[in-house]
Amino acid sequence: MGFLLISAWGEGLPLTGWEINKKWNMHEVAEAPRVASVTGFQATYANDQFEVALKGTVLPDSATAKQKASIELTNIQNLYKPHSNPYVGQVSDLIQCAPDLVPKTSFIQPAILAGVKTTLLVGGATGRKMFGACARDQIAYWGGYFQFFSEPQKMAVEVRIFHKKNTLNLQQARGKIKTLSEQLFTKAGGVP
Amino acid sequence: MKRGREKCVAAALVLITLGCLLYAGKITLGLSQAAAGGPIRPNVFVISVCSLRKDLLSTYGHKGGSVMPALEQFFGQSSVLYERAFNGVPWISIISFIEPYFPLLTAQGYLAASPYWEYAYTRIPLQRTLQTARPEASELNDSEFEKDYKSYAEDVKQQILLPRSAPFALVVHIKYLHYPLIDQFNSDSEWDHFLSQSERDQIAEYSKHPEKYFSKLPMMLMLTGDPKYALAHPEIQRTVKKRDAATLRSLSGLVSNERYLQEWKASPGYAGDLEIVKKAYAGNARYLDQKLLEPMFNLYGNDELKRNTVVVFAGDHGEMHMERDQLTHATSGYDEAVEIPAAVKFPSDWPSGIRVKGQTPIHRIADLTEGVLAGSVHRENLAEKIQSLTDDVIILRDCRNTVRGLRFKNKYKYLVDTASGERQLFDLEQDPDELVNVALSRSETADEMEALYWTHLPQFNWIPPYRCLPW
Repeated sequence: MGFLLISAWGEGLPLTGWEINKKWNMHEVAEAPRVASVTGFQATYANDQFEVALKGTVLPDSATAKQKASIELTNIQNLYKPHSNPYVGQVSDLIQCAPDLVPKTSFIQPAILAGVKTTLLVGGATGRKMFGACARDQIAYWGGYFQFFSEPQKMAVEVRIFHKKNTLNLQQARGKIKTLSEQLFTKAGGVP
Repeated sequence: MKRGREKCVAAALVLITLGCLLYAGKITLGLSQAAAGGPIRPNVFVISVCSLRKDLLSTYGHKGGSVMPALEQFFGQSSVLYERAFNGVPWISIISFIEPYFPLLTAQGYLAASPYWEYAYTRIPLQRTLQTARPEASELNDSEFEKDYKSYAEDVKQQILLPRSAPFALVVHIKYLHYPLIDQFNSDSEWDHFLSQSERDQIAEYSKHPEKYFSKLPMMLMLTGDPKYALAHPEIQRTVKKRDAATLRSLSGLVSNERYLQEWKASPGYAGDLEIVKKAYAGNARYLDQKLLEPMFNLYGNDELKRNTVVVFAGDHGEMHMERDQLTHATSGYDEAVEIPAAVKFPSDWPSGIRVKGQTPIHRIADLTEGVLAGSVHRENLAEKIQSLTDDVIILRDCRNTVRGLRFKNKYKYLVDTASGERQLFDLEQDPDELVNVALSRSETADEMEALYWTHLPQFNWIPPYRCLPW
């Protein structure tokens, strides 16, 4: 089933009815995993500024998806927090985010989700595109993270966006990632 | 206003009382059955051992000389042996699942108690389970816990042999295998039993010059728990400004820090260092087996107790010895960290020889224990009940919620890394050592596991996270 769907992938994202907005001029990253089945999909796109990793999972209902989105966002936020009183034997990393590196969250309204808001987190990510980077020399990318749920397809979609740190500060990166997040998808040309 | 508040308090008391009566109903039923000639209520003695790796035991495939003969014998004689038992929250013990039951048992005539042993580590904070069960314990200082095996063993022995007219339920949690591995509190300790002289000299050398051997930080914290090794590391010297007690205590957590583990692994002599850690751990296991477990399994030679006591044994989690570059526990979802040895020995007139092959989460062993205490599990229905106490899905996570996943039917292990989003899927039948990630080639299965995770998440979320992050 997975191979069948890959061959029928076309330009749209499987099981969603959406595609990447052409205005961003994104291409699929060939070396990144690209899989799809009746249970979900995974793909990565990039242009000269951004890299966008998408993961879709079919879940039974919106309540489960809401729980998933909330817990995972919290878990990513926690990666940036100091652990001053850890369970003994647990990782204790002494790095603490400077105030200007503390990740920011804001509501976004993706264009394809009429009236639905979701939370976008933007924070530091390592060279391996791992969230939780707090030290200036550790941050190679600014990372954006959000999830949403497409009720008709029962598809929970997780979006991870990365922008090279370059000379951008977190505030500037946040603006760029927010704009991309809201306009990332458009309705696909055909019915999935 | 005051009357309104009194009414609220009164209503709350009525609700609590009703709840307790309803909950206690199943216990009362058990006692009534016994009084009417039904199943006789046995004593229940639960022995929980912290940080016990299953590969120390031939029961679970260990080859070579036995390090823990008393435990091996107990498993050999046990009525119920769990071949695949797991704790998906590898910093919490079976006590957390049983202890909430104790106040009601006490009210029904059981003598319920839980002597803790914080062994050899003054900086391990009090555990909330103890504070919940015995509120007065929150007043205790760490130093008031017994740290020598003789006084602890004597305490347990006295509680077991205490003459009483009602059955007892006693839970002990033994942290002897929890790091730090060097036992400073027992003069006859055997942590260095398996070490050669050159290995002892190596530890002495690292200890004498911590600034020279700063890359040995995880090893030395594992052996000693002493923050001086952390403070000797140049990066920590730069980063840590405060030297208060809380900061020093937090430094011991660096034992599992990935960056320092990589630094240690790249250092000269790493292979020998790791052997030292493993040998010190095995030496402690040997000591634990001889000094504590053997007399406990023997119920201190009391024949009457042997006739009417159920002994439940369970590890609380395993321990990583640098498999996949991980050390200790609570940071890993791999089987070395989450699989636990477990068995139950019933009196001789109960069914025996039951082997549970299905994957069993630790809370199901607690369910069995509670069933015995409540009278709903007895010798007539044990064999039938026991097979139903397994779970197709066991939810897994680490202390900081950086890794989550599940174990499915002894068939698949599924893990997700929070920071990278990377998924891992292992086919446990083909790849029991969890070495080949098939998440991409079997993406459909990985997606199914992901959905199962979210639909089964409530499995543990009623358990307090203790010092770890909430669910």
